[in-house]
Order: sequence, then structure tokens, then C-alpha cells
Amino acid sequence: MGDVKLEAITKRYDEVTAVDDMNLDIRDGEFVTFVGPSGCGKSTTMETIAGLTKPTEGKVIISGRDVTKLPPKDRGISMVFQNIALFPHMDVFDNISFGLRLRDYDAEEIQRRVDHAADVVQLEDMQDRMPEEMSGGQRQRVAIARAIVRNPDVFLMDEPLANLDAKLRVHMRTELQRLHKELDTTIIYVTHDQAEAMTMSDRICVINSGQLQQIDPPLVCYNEPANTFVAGFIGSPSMNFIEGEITNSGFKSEHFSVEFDPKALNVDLGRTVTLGVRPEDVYETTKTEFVDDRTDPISAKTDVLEPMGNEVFIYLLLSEDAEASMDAAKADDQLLMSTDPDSTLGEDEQIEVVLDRNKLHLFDGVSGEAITHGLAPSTADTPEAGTQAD
Amino acid sequence: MTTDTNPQIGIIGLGGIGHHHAERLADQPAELIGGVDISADARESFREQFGVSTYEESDELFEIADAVLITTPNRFHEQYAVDALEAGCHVLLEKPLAHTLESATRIAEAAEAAEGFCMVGFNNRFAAAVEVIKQQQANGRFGDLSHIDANYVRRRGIPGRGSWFTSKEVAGGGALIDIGVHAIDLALYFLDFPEITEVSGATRSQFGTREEYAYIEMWGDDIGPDGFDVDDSATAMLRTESGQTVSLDVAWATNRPTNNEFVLRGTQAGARFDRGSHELTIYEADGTGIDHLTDAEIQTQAVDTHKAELRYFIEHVAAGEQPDQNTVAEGLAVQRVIDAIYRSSEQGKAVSLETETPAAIPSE
Repeated sequence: MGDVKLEAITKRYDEVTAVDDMNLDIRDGEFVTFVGPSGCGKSTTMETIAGLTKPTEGKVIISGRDVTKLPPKDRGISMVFQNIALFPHMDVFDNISFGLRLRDYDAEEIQRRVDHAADVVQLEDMQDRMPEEMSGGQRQRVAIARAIVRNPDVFLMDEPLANLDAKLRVHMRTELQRLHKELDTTIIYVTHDQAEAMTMSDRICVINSGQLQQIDPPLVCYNEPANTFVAGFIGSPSMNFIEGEITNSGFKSEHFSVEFDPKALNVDLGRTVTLGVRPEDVYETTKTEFVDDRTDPISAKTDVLEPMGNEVFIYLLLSEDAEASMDAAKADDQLLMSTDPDSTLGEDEQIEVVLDRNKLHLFDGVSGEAITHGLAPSTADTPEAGTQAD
Repeated sequence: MTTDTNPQIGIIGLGGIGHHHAERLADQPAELIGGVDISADARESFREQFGVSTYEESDELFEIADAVLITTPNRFHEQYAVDALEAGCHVLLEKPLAHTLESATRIAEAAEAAEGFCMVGFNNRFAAAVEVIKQQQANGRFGDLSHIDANYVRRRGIPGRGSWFTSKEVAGGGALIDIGVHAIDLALYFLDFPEITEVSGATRSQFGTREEYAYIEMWGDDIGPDGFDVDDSATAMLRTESGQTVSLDVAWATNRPTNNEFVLRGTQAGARFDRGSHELTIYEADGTGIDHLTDAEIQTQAVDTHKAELRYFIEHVAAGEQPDQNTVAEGLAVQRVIDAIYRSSEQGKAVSLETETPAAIPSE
């Protein structure tokens, strides 16, 4: 049993609400990742589960037990933090077994558990090493082994890889997934790195301003984001957002339009909406062989090119007076397009692009809540007959 | 009079402050049963003066002690504190909690998991005037506290250069970690340990680094600037989650008069407490009759704060109860501020603590 329930958790500091009415239901054995920008409340939520912070309101239930008032050590949890917290004067065995020795386990049981944990993190032959003799990744594995020996119902990991270099971080990501498979224990993981969240989790819990935005499997968060925040946060580079309004014939923005029947989506005429499209769903008109249902061509001029090796990011300006901005995703007169690495496009070229209608998202312009993901096939007679922006 | 049922206390680190505590233990309902030091000379002099066994290794002491006082140089706090807690002893750890924030965090984690408790030696809390301030604050006399001036400024008072106090590797810092720790602790204590959200600070090394450093007295031998790689003064501003502020001034050496003043500004009243002279004045204004200002001078008994701290520790050891104050969580909060001031000084800008995950701070 290692299910975790948060019931209406609120954590208020004097004037700041760090966590606002959070309800969560995490199942036994799940790998759930809390993501969100700095200060969004993800760490406070984790601390509330751990018992390091007391909620102002609400309940924390672990394995069916109300633990809201229990200290961390009585909650059946083990924590791993980003600060690699090994005692420098103790060898690996003593570090891993510290918690067990404090609880007066007998020597045989301690040895058995340490051997198992060291085996899981692949440090079997290093039990007599001192922390200073080990690499950052090895030390972090010792910290994880220290959490394992306690046989917790739930592991809480707060940015455990943040202090490692990029290469090691990717390696440890795989290690943690293997560990999760092997232990089959609930893991709640906090990170601000959405790539970590996407690759490791059964479900991602996206948090912003202390509020739960969405909790779903990674690809659902990616393909069907609940609102503009999730849409913008998950995915790198970020989704393009274009402000516009609903007209008789669909969506109209300053620089282009997309046709659909507003009645079918049950949206009122004149309603302000935000159209979202990911960079990989923007295509040059010459490269649309894989796009079944596309928008009318949109005129654009290429601006900055960012070759990444496996793809090229191209910043597109939709009007003459558009100025390249750092945040192309949010500018209504810009689009970021991702294209294949052999693209021959250069800077300052006039081109036409289309958007994959099946991959378009519409959000309410005020609340940011999703209205639809993917538009019904175009009803226009020919794709070319659509309304081109003036 | 002491009896066999009194707590059995050991001391680890038999230098000056170890002796200081051992002397004060004599009047307490506790038994000094031994000391630990890696230096044979220190062990011998302690044995001669106090007539108790001394050991090179701490394990032997942990077997017979109920509690230990740790008075080693800062860098060695962690190993002795963690091992003592593991052995089931209660711990009174001299300030600061540790030489680095990471080490302090590990001590806090060990204390959180252990059956015994760890108390931190912020002895100024036990000054009578400080107790008066806290009680008056609890009674609401000050209203809401908005700002604290916290000063621990010596005109000349760098410890012997070449001692562990002036070594970054062993002490973790200079004036800020040695005496600034008291000023930060008292300021946070007056404010009930609020969350600190931003720290802006500067540390300096302007006197200890000089060949011609002029002084009247010095504690310990001096080998000159070669034995000095730490700060000798620090100035900082702290901001709390609710917008309260603390202005901190700390120095081992400055060209200005000594300053031990703590000034509290509340919406209803203020106070000025001198940590050196123990003077306490409360400032109020009233409109009864005619608008007037009142300066109330509070007279208290002079208290030996180290002795009072020991008594408090021993009472809790005897009862087997966690102390409510001088907790390891408070020590860790102070250490976070020290660490933030050093970082702010290094980066030349304010550092925000708001978005950082506090290291595992035991909330109990």
C-alpha cells in the first residue's frame, strides 16, 4: 500500500497562498512528477506530504492513514533531496545503514537490507568507500539506497538530479525508471525540468500559482493540455499562442484565419480565444505530404534560424513590421516552426506555411481553459478557398 | 547536591569553551563523567582540572553518557553530533550548528530521526532582558514587530590569527559565523523565526589581512595575516515573508565604537536591548491626559547565560523531553541566513530564498 491522497490542502503564509485547495489521488506504485515554474508550490506540496510543512487546511492520507499531524519519520516515507546529504565521515555502508542503526535493527537485518539496496543501485562493491572517493552520481545513488533500506510506502524525491551534470542527469533518469520498475513503490518526484517529467512519469502533475493545473499521463498533458499554462509549460520549445476571436467562419487573428464551424464547438461569436500550435505542427507548404488536413497558407518571412542537429527551429514573422522577440511563442505576429535538418531555408526568405488542423488547440481567451484539441475537417470546398488574412 | 540519578554528561572538545562549560556544570544537577579530545595535552589538562576520565575516541564516552556537550571547532560538529545521536545521547552543540549549510542540514536530519535531541548553544536567549522582551512581545506590548536592528560589532577583537577561528576550512567563515550567528539568532528569535525570503549582504576582510593590524588585546596567539582567510565584518539586510526587515551589522574589527545593540520596532512599542550591558529600555507613546512619550527602563538580574542554558539543557535531558527553544530547526534557519549572506556577498546582489526548497527542516 502506498497510495497518497491530498484532500483540499491549502498552505498559506501571511499574505501568500503557496498551495491553494490541492486535491490529488496518487495510486500505489505510481511514478508521479510534480512540475511547474520556480515558486509554483510544487516543493511546498511535497513538503506537506513529507510532513516538513504543516498545511493550513486539508488532510494528507498515506496508505489509508491520516498522517496530517504525524512527524516525517512516522509517515512511511523516505526522502531524497537534491543536496547530496551523505555524512562525510561515514563510509557507504554506514551512510546507508544510519537510519536502521538509529532504530536498533539487528546487525543481520541491517546487512541484508544494505546488501539489497546497494545491489539495486549497483554499488555492491563500494560499501567501504568514503563519500569523498565517489563521483556525484555514485553519491546520489548512495542517498537513494539510504532511502530504499527503510522499505517506505512512498519515495519523495525533490530535484534529486539537479546538482548533477547534464549527461549524468540523463543517465540517472534511466536509472530511476529501472529502480521504479524493480521496487514497484510509489514515487513522487519534484522537478522544474519538464524533460525529466515527460520521460519518467506515469502521470505528470502540473502546478502553477499553488493550484493543480492538470494531472495526466505525459502525452495527454502534451497533446491535450487542460489550459494555456500547461500547453506553454509542457513541450520545448513552447507552443505558439495567437490571440484572436471567433467569427462565423471560425478563428480570425490579425494575420491569419482558420476555418471551422463555431456552432460545432459550441463557442459564441465574438468570443476572444487563443489558438495554440506546437512548432512541429507548422509546415512549409512544400512539405505537407504527411498533413491530412491543413489550414490555408499563411505568408511569413523567415527570421532567425536555430539548427539543433536533428531539427531546425525557424522564427517566422507574419507581418512586415513584426520585430523578432525573445518570446516568439507569445507574440501574435510570430510563429516558431520546427523543420527537418536538411531544410534549405535561409534567413529573410518569404515563404508560406500551413498548420496541421488536427493538432490545433483552442483556448478561452480569458480563462485560458481548453475549448478543443484538433479541429474538425475543413468544410471549405477547396483548401485554397479559405480566407487569407488581409 | 548531585546524585547518581543525575544525567551523566560528557564534553567533546576540551579547549577554552569546553573548560568554560565544565566549570559551569559543577553547580548543576548533573555529573560530568568525561571528556574527549584528539589532543593529548588538552586531555591531560582537562583530566587534571576536573578529575574525570578523558578519551581520544568518542565511542567510549557515548557508552556511558546520557548527553554530551560538543565544543569542538565548527568543522567537527557534524561527526561528533551525528555519532552521539546515533549512540542515543542528547546533544548540546555549541553555535554555529555547523561550518556549512550542507553539514548543518545533515545534523538536522540525524537529529530528526534520532530518539535523543540536539540543542544549539545560542546562550544569549537566556539573558534575563531577552526573556522579558519575549514575554512582553507575547503579551502584545510591542504590537506587530516590523524591524530589528541587530548589532554585534567589536572595535578590535579578531581572535588569534592562525587559530581555527580564522580558518575558513575549519570554522566555515569569520566574524559572521562566529559572532554574527548570535545576532541573527536573536533577531529571528524576536520575530518568532519567520520565513526569510530575501537576503542582501556584504562581508569584508579588511583588518585580519593586514601586517600592521593594531590592537590592544587579542585572544590566543597571533601569527599574522598568513593565518587569516575569513571575513572580519559583515553587513546585511534580511526580509521576511510578511515584509519585516532585519538590519545586521557584525564585526570582529572596525573603526567605530563597539555596538551590541538590538533595537526592536513594533507598531505599539519599541525596545532597545544592549547585549553587552544587559540594559533594556521600552519606548512607548500615549495620549492619556496629554500626548506623551514613555521610556521604561527595565532592570533585571545579571544572568550567566551559559549557566542558564546548561540548566535548561540538563532539565530536558533529565525529563527526556525535546526543548522548545534552541532547537536544531532554529539552528538550521540561522545557518541558512549565514549561507545566504556569504552567497549574496560573493554574487554582489540580493539572493532570494523564497523559491528554494528548504533542506529537510524538521518541523517538529
